[in-house]
Amino acid sequence: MLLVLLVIPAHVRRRAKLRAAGERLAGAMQRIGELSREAGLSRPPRLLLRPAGQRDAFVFGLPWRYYLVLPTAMVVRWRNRGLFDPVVRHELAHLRRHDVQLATAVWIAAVPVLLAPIVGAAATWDLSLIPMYLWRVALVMGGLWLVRRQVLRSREYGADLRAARQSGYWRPLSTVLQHATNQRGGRWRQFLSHHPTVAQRLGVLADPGRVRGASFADGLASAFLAAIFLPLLHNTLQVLTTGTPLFSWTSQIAAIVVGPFIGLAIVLGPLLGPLFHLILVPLAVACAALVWRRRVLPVPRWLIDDERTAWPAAAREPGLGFALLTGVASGALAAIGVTVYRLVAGKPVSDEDSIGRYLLWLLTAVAVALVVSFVTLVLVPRSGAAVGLVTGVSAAAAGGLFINVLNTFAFGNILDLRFWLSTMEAMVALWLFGYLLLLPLTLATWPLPWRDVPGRLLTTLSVIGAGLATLCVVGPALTLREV
Amino acid sequence: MEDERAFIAALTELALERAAPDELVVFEETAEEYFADPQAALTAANQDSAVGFGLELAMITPVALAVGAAVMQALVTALSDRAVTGVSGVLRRVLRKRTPDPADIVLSPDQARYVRQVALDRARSLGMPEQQATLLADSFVGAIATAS
Repeated sequence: MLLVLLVIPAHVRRRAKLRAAGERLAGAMQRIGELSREAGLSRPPRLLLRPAGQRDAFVFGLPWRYYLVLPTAMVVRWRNRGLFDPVVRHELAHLRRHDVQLATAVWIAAVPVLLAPIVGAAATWDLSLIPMYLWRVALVMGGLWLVRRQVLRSREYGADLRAARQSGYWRPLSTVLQHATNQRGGRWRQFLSHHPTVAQRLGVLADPGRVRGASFADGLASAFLAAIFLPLLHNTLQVLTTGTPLFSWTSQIAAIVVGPFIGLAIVLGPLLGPLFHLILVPLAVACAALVWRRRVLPVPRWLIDDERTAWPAAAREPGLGFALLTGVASGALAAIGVTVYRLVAGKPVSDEDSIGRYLLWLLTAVAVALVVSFVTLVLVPRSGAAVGLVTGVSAAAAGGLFINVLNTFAFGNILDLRFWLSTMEAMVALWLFGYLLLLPLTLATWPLPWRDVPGRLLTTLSVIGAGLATLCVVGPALTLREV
Repeated sequence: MEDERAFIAALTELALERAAPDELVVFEETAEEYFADPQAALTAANQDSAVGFGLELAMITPVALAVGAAVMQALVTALSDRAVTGVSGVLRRVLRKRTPDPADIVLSPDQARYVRQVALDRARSLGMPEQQATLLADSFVGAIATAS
């Protein structure tokens, strides 16, 4: 196996007709050396050129000697930093992240293990079980093959993001990717490919949160391999623990070993999004239900030793309708403020300007939602925390929605529902963080008795507060812009 | 055959000084590769490598060599009173600027237009973008004129 590994680089060189870069390309090699040092590599990879018609770049080799293969058309244009640097940074990122070893490690680990029984059977001349074993091996190899491809696809995103981080900005790599060859062949080819599509890579570069840890194929292949592994492990454990107290626990021990693999594969990737929904959405729904249905339940007399027979009634106002109206109206005000800024400032003129606008969106909507929550906490004693959660989350979500709607339909930006959702999520998450800091205020009003607060009053005061918050954010932003 | 290849290479190298000077540093290797298998050199592969990065970026040299071959044939036609070897020899000498004989290779305006059109058609037929094809055709005619 080791011998095969040592031979692979020479085989790749011969098969791909690669040739070493000559002295006349010393400038390109020097630049690769500089970029390698920036990437944290102890020594730069050796530059190889592909035949003139080839357009692909890749890295291969062994830990003590890596090769960087670039299209000749790109190497001769090495002075074009906008083209050369992002591609080289991307390939160096693969080396830094040990993707080359990863690409071969699967087979290094799997092939000897799978071949061992065959070698053993051949040594004892007992080949009767080989046919049955071989088709199982084929299934396992198929599963491994799929997992390996998926892992390599996901490593492309990592290399892109690392390259973008090193150059300080994602735009140069994005520009090069837009000129990359697009994959053809539909979903089946994408499923089998080593690479994500150009569109997917561009999407992740623009919004790294889109990187998904586990796709359907990942889950399928991982679960298949784990399911195959489980009975094997169980049987092995039974043999090992026969006659010991552990024998009756072999199923559980096997499950403890295999379970985390499946769990990690499924959970670790798309962690943040589901956590967000798992925690925040039920919290908001529960609080909305509490606000809607709040009342004092009769306490059984046997539960307490007290002379009192009458209990104060709970406050019923403001109801859920007014709480939601307060949030939506305040969110609309935030959107109007952002729209006024857009009308006065005009189109963004640069990427930095666009990022600044996006931060202004977030700041305005979050400030408005926090002010609304604050007004609710102060105005509504005891149940202010629950009502404030409903008004705040609806203000942040409505603000995000209205801002996106106006930006898309009034100003002609691209309709991207994922962007809408990620913006709203960011606003709600930031508001939630601020709201946790505000929550202790509810203790200040806790000694006060339950008291109905008219919904109209809450809405009016909250909207006034939201308007002032919008002015406080958008006004200075406009003033600073003019300065 | 060797004479023809040497002539095509010399003429193309001159044309590339205008059309794609960056590519001259690998011209010899690229020309060798082209003459070994012209079709393979002209066909851009679209393979999905192990850890790869596909770029929509092509070398002009292989296409320019193919155009150079067409230009040589056009010159033979334009100067049809000479044998191929004779034309090649004269032009190669001129291109090397050893024993220039402008009278032998100076093209009339019609001949120059004809050569340019052949170069342009060949570049287009190989899928070269219009702007690049025009620049390359002009470069070939310019190379001949400059050499003479």
